[in-house]
Amino acid sequence: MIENSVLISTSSTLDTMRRLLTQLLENREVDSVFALRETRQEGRYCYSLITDPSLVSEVLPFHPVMPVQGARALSNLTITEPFDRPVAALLRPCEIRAFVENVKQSQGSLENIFIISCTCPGVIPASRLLGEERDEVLRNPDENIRNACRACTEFIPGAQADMTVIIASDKPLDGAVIYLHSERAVETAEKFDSCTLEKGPPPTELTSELLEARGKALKELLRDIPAPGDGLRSLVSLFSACIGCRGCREACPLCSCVLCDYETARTAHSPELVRAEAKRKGSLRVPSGTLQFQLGRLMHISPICTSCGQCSDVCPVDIPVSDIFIRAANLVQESLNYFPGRDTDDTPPLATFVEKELLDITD
Amino acid sequence: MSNTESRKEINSILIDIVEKALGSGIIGSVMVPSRGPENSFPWTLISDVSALERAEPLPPVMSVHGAKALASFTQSPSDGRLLAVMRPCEARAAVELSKLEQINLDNIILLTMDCPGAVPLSEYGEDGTIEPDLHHPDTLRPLCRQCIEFTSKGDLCLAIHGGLSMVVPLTTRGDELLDSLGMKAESDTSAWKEWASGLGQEREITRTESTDNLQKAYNGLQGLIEAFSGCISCRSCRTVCPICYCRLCFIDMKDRRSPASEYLERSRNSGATRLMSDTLLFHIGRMAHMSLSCVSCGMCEDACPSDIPIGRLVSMVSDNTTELFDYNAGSNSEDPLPLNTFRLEELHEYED
Amino acid sequence: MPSTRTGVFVCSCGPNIGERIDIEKIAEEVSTIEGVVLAETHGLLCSPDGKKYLALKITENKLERVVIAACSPREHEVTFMKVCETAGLNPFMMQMANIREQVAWVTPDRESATVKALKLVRGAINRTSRHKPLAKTSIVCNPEVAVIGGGVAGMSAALILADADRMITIIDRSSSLGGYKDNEKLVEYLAERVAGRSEITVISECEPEEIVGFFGNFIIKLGEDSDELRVGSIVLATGCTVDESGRAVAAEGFSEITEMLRISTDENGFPNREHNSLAPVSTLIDGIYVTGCAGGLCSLKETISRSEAVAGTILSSLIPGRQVETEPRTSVISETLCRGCRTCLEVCGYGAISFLEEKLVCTVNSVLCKGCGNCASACPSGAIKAQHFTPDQIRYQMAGLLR
Repeated sequence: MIENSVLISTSSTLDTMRRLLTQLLENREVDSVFALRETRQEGRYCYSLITDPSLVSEVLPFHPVMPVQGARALSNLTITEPFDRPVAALLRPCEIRAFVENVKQSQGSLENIFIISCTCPGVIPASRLLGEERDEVLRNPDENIRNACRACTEFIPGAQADMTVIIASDKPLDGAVIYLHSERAVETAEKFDSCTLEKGPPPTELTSELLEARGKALKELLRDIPAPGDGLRSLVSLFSACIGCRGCREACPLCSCVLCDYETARTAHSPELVRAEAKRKGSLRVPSGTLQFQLGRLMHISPICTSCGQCSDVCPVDIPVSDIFIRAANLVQESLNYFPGRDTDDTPPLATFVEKELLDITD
Repeated sequence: MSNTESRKEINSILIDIVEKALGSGIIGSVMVPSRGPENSFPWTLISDVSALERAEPLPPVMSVHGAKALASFTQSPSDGRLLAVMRPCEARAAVELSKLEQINLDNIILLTMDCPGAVPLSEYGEDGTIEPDLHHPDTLRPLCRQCIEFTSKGDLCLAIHGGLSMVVPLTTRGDELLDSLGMKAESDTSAWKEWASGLGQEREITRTESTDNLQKAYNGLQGLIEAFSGCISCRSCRTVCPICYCRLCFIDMKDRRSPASEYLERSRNSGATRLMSDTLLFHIGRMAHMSLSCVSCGMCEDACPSDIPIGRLVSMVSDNTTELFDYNAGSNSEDPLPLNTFRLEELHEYED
Repeated sequence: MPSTRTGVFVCSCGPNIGERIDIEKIAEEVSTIEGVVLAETHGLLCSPDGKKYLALKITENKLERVVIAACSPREHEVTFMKVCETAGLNPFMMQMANIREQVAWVTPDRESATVKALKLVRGAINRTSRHKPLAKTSIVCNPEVAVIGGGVAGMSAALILADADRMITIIDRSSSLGGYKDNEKLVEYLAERVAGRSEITVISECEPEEIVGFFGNFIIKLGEDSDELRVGSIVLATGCTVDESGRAVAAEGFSEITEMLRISTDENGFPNREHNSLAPVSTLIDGIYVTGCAGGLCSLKETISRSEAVAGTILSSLIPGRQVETEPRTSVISETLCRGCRTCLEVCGYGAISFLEEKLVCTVNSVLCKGCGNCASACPSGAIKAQHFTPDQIRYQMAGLLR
């Protein structure tokens, strides 16, 4: 029985993780490691595909930053063909969920990916790590995490993870605690020296207080963001400062279109139409289509949004994009009874036809 | 005169002109920034005089580049005459875009002003109290601090320095508009020109210093890699750039996708490979594509969520490429685009 | 990478390639590449025996891709494309690797020559995996001819064409035919003969205002009120003139015609020819020919022989009822990606691209396009694809070369 198998090590999580990854590479159990590293410039991080075991010492597993959403980077790697040899990928729960959604839409492949995840404490907005306050912020990560992370109740990885490293927990842990979910994970752990294999309590027991706090924060977030009745005016106001940089779309792991529908000639408003509208209304905001884009993206993404918060992070004018998406996702996913990334076998709701749905409408 | 007052003055003069031109039917519509909700300043295309109430021709920040806004509805010739009130760098980009056939300038008059510069978007914030101050560079965006093309662009320019407070025509089109508005005034502009050349010289120094610093900080290929190490591939620099007009960027073409095996090979070459990949290829490629038409407006830097000095870097590269072709982006609509022009002697230069 | 049935044929080219490159080794090495079901050598593939052998191998092995490592494609690409066609394979599924001119003849060391040749063959194999079949299309020709300029050159060409029952329209800007001053008797004689032929229509005091179309289907606008003239071919016979410095230059108004036709000219305004000795009366655009002094100052004798050459070329290519084959390797513009910047219009030498005002995008006339690829490389938006030379195909070829 694999259930609740735990690898316990007395050394720190960082050390344990690095030793584990080194072993995986040295024993050729995996060909490469997909993980976060700090770049040559202090405070700048990036995901890397690492093949040299000696470079594992630079890996910062689950450091509280998200320079790009991991699912986007992994999709980029596997969109034309899957990995032909095993890769160990360090991913946060929201990154796994987004990647699963991408795989469902043929935008990547899970084949040969050995997923190491964590109970996620959240990430700090990139902008807070750029200034002088950086050290202060890093000392108190919990107080500085993204809005989306604060309200994230899905911080325990789902079935796709092979290992779960306990990072966020109600009580501080001595040493490293890593849950094993697959035969492969157990095999790997058995070869790993200076540690013990035990049975532990279900990981949910280690994080019940945190879940409660996050649930409360989510409720508050949903309450503060415009409700369905608030109407168009409040949306216009929310997006009024939008400069049209489309950073939210580019950063989103789920916006995987080669060319966004709202950039095509098909949806572009013709010069004649814009001029005629301006004449008719007396005054018109140009370039037109700001709200059309935002609402369109909301429509396309909300059924599969994994609430990672990356869109808010990149917004140069501080529009609470992810708060709006989390609110919409909450409503839409609830009503479609679809939870993105939970199960690789669930078909995306808009690609599924359920006969009963027709009755729902016609009745 | 405080900054707020000087900006107020510019705004009220500009609104007066627009009102007169629109009210009398000399122009059919005007494109001008207006005050939106939440301290925002969206561009508006106005044909009804009463809508000018919210107009703010010179807002403290630059949210969307004026040339980009203009290009969104002027690729085909406009039926009535249109007046576009914009900053000098926006007028220059409009000229470049007209060469790239994205704007048809036939029926458009560009009205600019002595530009005080703009406040960085990130510092403007919710209170909206910071004012761009010509004399206090630290209130301005980095590119505005080193801007040497801050006046006398477009068809006419509102001059408020050197003791002037008048619109100076710069082209026959501008001349005609002033004429029809009955606003033609002969006045001595020498003090204004002196002001411009004085400030220009100061700015040149800032510009040279900035270039020196950049070159020191990011020397060679390794330096560039470091400069862009914080890039998160959000592509905002490209999207907000008035010159980047492609629907789909070369970097996003399907043809460029690489299989996983290729990434692994890259990783094996140096032990590790950065993801998203091709950060530098994107930025260098973009510079190669647009640096000749770059107007140093700084939109890219303002939009960058990672605080990369991208505007200054592109502007520095642009200084070099435009010098090579003896070209000045947006200064003259008659100068052909260097890369679309074939000169026989270029071939000799290359062969010899 | 290629998963389709690929056949590789390495030609010895007599001793030309075989003596300098280890072709057996190449065949052996590439036979292990995924998708390669056949890799053989042959003494001389372009010989009748070689062609028969190739066709048989294609059908026997149900080949979907063919790579021929031999001479320059300039020499035998057409030959092998025809073989593919007869064997039922789309000719564009074939790719040549030039291991003669690019390797055997320039790389003396046998070992490095073999390594280099192998890289070229690998590139070609990789490339074919991205090939797509292209369809040949054809259009029905209009057999009529327009002659611009009614001098000795124009009239003599028209008369020969009339003898072959062609309908000809002579367009001349003066009120009467003729132009050659030194032999008025000849001019009179020709003009009389022209007048007596029902096949020839003369439109005088007239100049073309606009010419659009392509070989087999030109439309000439002659003025606001007059009808359009539809012809399959155009003969330029406008003579020449002498400038102040005594230099022969193209006739006045000729540059407007060349601009309309988008044909390139030399520094004196005379049209550039397809080939100065092999095709001296053909311009760079199919179906447009030049005769007499319109192609540069020449004697009366030369004028008449040029007109005979023009008439002969037209009679042999613009046959009534004939369908003209168009180039399948054309450029295509994606309406989704085009921003209407019109850079491509500037670089197209064939007048094949036009701008659609209503859609604000450019479009390629596939009949006019010769597939040169200028537009694809000039397009800043990546909206133009040169078929058979797509970035994808080139990238795969490069990947094969560099592996």
